[in-house]
Amino acid sequence: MFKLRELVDANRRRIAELITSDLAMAADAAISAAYGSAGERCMAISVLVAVGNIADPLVSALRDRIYKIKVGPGIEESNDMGPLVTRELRDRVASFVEGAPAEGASIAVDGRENPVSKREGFFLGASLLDHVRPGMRCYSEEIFGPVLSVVRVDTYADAIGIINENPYGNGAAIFTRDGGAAQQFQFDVEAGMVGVNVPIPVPVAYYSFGGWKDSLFGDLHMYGPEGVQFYTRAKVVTSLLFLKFLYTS
Amino acid sequence: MAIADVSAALGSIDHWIGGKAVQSDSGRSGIVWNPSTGQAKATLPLRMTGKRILRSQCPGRHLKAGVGPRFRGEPK
Repeated sequence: MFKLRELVDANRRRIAELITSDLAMAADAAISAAYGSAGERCMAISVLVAVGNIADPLVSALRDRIYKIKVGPGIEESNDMGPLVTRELRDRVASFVEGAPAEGASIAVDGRENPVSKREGFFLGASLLDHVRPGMRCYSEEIFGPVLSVVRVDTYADAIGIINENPYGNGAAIFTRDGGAAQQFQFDVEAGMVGVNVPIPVPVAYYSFGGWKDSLFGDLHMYGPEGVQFYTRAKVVTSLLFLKFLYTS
Repeated sequence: MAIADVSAALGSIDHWIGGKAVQSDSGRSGIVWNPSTGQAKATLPLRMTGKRILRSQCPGRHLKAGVGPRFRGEPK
């Protein structure tokens, strides 16, 4: 079982949780959700919570996949991940990796050691941080880059607690083959968008888009019925038609 | 590299509004990078004021720039 979380834009965070499921499927999903677009997208994943004894095999599966990510210019189709958008962002993202051990986390994969990080441009390899805990800088701040943090917990309740104690609640997802756990997660989790075996639970437009708690500005989500509501003002008409009069006149 | 140097050497990318280039009035700009090479490509003027954007898009519409979207259809 593991959980994914991200902080989006300046103030939005996405949290996802994946519970004991097909490990390969969950690892593939985490890789694409965390490192797609080099982690520079609003619903990218930055934290994953592993529950119980799934952590070790999961980290191993992630590590294997990270080493296969080909980093290079985005205009070359053979590359899986491109550079970061600016030098300043690249250096900032690297600083999260550099500072993680001092706070008690371990670096499972160091993207700074990827040879691509030494070439011209703003490249940084994918990084994986393990044994991350709430309160650490890499957990609390928005990274917006190719860094995935793994938080280890013992139980489902612990994972839900971590998610719900977070001030942000953009989205959450669970990976499981247990339908009961999936349904319970939908009720328990405090997030605006929830996925079941879907790592980035962005709904189709007519369901709108947006989070809960500090992941929402204002009181309405972006589009769908709430978007229409934002741009319109309702008028309520209560009428009584004198049908008998109309028919007989 | 200073923004002024980039602008002088590589030029500036103006806003394209209503089918024509419109220059920013903010006085601020940023550098457009090619992140794969680390080279500066041009400068990009940062935002224009809201009223100027509306004026360039639709004459007269800027008069309602300070009116919330729910009330722009209100008769005066």
